[in-house]
Amino acid sequence: MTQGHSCVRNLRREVFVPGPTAATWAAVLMVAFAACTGAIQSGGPLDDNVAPGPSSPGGGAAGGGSPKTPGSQAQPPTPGALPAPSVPGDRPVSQTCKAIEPGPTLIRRLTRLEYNNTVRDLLGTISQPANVFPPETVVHSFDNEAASLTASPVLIEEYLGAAERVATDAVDNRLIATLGCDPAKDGEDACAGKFFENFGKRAYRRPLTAEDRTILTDVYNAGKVNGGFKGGIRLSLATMLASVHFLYRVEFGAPPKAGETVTSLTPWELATRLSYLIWRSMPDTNLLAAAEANKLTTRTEVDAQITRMLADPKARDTVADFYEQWLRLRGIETITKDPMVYPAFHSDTAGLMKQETLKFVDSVVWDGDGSLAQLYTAPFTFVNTALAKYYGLPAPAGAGFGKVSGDTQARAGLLTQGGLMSVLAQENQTHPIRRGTFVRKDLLCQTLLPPPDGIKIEFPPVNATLTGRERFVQHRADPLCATCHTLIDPIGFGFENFDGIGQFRRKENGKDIDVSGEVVGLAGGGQFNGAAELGGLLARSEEAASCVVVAWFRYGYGRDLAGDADACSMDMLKRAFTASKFKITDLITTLARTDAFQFRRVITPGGLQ
Amino acid sequence: MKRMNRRTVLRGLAGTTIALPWLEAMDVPKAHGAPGVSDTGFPKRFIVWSTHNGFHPPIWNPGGGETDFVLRPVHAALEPFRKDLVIVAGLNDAAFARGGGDLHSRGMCTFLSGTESIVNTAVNTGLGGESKSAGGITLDQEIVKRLAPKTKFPSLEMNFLDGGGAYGTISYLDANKPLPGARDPVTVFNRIFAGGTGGGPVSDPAAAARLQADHRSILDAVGKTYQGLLPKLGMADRDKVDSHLTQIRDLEKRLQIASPAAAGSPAASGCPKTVAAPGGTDRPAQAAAFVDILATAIACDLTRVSSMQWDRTTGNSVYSWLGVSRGHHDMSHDGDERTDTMADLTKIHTFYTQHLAKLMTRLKAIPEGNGTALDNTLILQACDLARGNQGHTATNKFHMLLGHAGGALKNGGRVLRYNGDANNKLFVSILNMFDIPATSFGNPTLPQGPLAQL
Repeated sequence: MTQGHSCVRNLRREVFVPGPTAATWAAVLMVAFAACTGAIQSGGPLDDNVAPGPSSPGGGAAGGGSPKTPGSQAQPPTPGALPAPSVPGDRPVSQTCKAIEPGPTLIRRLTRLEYNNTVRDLLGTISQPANVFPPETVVHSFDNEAASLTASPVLIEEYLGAAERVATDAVDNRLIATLGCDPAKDGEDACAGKFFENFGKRAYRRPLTAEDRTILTDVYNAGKVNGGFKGGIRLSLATMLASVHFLYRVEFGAPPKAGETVTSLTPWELATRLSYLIWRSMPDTNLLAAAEANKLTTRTEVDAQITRMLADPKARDTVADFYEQWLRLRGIETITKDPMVYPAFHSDTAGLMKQETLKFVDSVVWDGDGSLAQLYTAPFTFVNTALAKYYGLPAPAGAGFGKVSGDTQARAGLLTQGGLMSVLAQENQTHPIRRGTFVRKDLLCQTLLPPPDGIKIEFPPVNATLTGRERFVQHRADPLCATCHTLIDPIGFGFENFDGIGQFRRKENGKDIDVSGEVVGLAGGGQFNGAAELGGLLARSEEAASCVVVAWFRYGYGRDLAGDADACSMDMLKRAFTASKFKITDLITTLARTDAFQFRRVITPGGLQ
Repeated sequence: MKRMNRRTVLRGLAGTTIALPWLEAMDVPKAHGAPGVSDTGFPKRFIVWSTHNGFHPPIWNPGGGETDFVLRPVHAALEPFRKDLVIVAGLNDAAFARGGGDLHSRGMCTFLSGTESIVNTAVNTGLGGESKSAGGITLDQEIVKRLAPKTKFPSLEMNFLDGGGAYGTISYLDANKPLPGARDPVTVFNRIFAGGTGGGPVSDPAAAARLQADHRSILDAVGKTYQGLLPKLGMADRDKVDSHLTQIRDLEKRLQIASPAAAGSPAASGCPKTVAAPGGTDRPAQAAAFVDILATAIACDLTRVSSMQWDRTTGNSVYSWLGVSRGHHDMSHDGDERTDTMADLTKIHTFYTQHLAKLMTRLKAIPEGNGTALDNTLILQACDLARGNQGHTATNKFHMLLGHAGGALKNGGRVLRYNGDANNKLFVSILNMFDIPATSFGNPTLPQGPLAQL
């Protein structure tokens, strides 16, 4: 038996009907493939998920909402029970969504990217000190799952080292700017006190407490003994940068009323959530000022901030980071290809291809119509002269990257770009299984299970006479393979026009390549011819759109979906995404409006979270 | 100030040497009999040496009998160490067999933890997908935890090719607390030898004292921010922040270790007076650098527990410097009958083994009492999966124990063949060799040890 990368036992489809009033997102279709059940040893119980129930037609507001006490069902709403900001009028309309349920919130440590961004915005440090920190664990494609962001001895050392270096640099090179006062004029200790208040508010993303002041004053005084005023500032600054309030996003929520289990956020906490959602960095002056002035309490005020923040280039960086991670382009620079098979692939090729995709995404999301459909189908891409030549596309105007179009039947949308095609390939040939699996798992959020234990999984060798489709004939000949690979291979074969380095070809080993493919089970029919057409299918697919929401949920909130607890937030996201004609920036906006984002569970010290 | 500005100064300065100023301050050997101390009073060390993408029996499994075994070419470099190795064949990863979902990430997560992995359930289905973490502490960290050696570095995790994440991490402090290996030898070198925050040397004593005082002040203040938050947090957050705080406290203590205050450090004969910065950035130079760093760290008693991980599972690097043109993982799926592939895999594993032999040679050159550092070290050589082909099984696994664990591993020069015993038993035996009176490791409901005959 040849390569069987994953065996599918169950395909469940989230039915996601576009349109503002029909959002039965959790309805499930199950297709069983009996011959593959051997693949499962002890799969979890099948979760026949409870749908949140049909939406109420008309989309009326459900009132201000009331915290839901776990265990009690759908209490009648008690408007006004919560402190602001709640955003009535935007609450999901399902019956079960009357009560507010934010889902679990875990304390979140900054990722390396967030650390670099934050010290840049806090101190002007552009040295990216977090690059040497240990890598995050990637979960569901992303690096920011809160539960996985824990500490290790190396990280603790690096935190101390980075804090010292960053503090030393600021004190040695930008002392007055960092302090915001002049110790010669204002007096050293008075200036230090001002620095703690003003800088501390930015570093901790909230005003200091008396406890914070004591800690900082003590370490400042200790630093003065050896290093004078500058030594004191250096140590207190380093302390802030290694403190829990800087490295983690600490939240308590607004003080809840007695007996309530859900609460809104303080303005500082909401500002912080907004800035890390949209910028993956700390709040800027404007946002902090809004928090300070309690100007984040109404929908209008929050929306104005979101609009402003989305217009900042830092928001573009966030979208780029999402796609870089989601499309497996992070680290692509180091992939290797067999130079005997692919002499055209050079050491800088992969980096150029990554730039291609990121520039394409940036253009579509921010300068084009911004829709998911456009990402999957846009009849252009971005190349520089070298990459144009590599692909056989027209050269762009100018020296750098520019927008070009070629044969749009061949190349259109994300799925036809060289980076993804090269990552999802072997070093000396294509990898139809990896490509098909990527579509199922990453683009449709379906579950694939490994092949049965003990099966011989061998990749067919490069063969000078066969096409990719012919090499995998065993997947159809062997019934045990076929039941599962029927779902994977026909997708992968549709990509065969793209070789292992993303170059387009119509023939392989002298034979015409057949790129007819099928996403078996896709609602509305899954047949396509070539990757560009597959992009068109996915652009129209409810499942694909739904999967984008799931991916942005994970990336935006740093956690996975928590089942029923997030049903209403997901409901809202999906309906709004549909209503916006699947516009990515609108999805980000909606991420800032859900229960999951606007509220949090009240902390019981030492209690379950 | 003579403090090395790490990362900036050393990068690219191949051949630079760093003086190790602590040599004068060696501790005398501790009384033997203490946990983690050899019969002759020297510290015991544990090293995990892991390769990935499975093994392939025709090129791997030794022939012959228990003592007259015949090593295959991949192990030829170990021929001089026949008496220093025990091959443990035929164990099963029992935790792997009980887990679900993706085989690769699962294999890495159960590899040294002896318990089921933490599996991501897919959206809305409850079905197991990829594993994202080991389900508990791994063997190496259990040894650190139980022996709590007062060394500069509790352990040293290094990764040659590709690491991080569930597919690339073998060492865990606990569930969801991974210790990914450092991938750049220069980073590791700077961390432990060149003025790293972790406490590498600073030549000027006054500067060193000042730096230490600064570190102490900062960490003391930083620790208070964590301490103050703890009582206000829910259980999961409290666990996370408390773990961070504990490690801050550990670092405070470690920074105060001015010299390798070891039970019986091998003094001047083993620990060099200077160390050379890693030279070259090509793969062979990096591999050599890792071995150098590890041997020196052991010789100078900077750490007693380490893992040298050579790749990640599914790592598909092309070992082009060995004349191999296909990716390792892709090749690992090929059948045993593919002689071309087996020849390439032999080259890769020979490369690993040669470095293993180099490390052992270095350790054997360090005199400790009547013996050598190798006598007081135990190296566990293993892979997360049993086989690369045949469906990625984790049954009938191949482990190799090298060194003598301070006299606890007796009768080297044997091949022990088991019939499907749980590898938890091997882990228990190893803990026992380090004077840790464990009767189980990992999931206690799995078959537990110790392993007979060992």
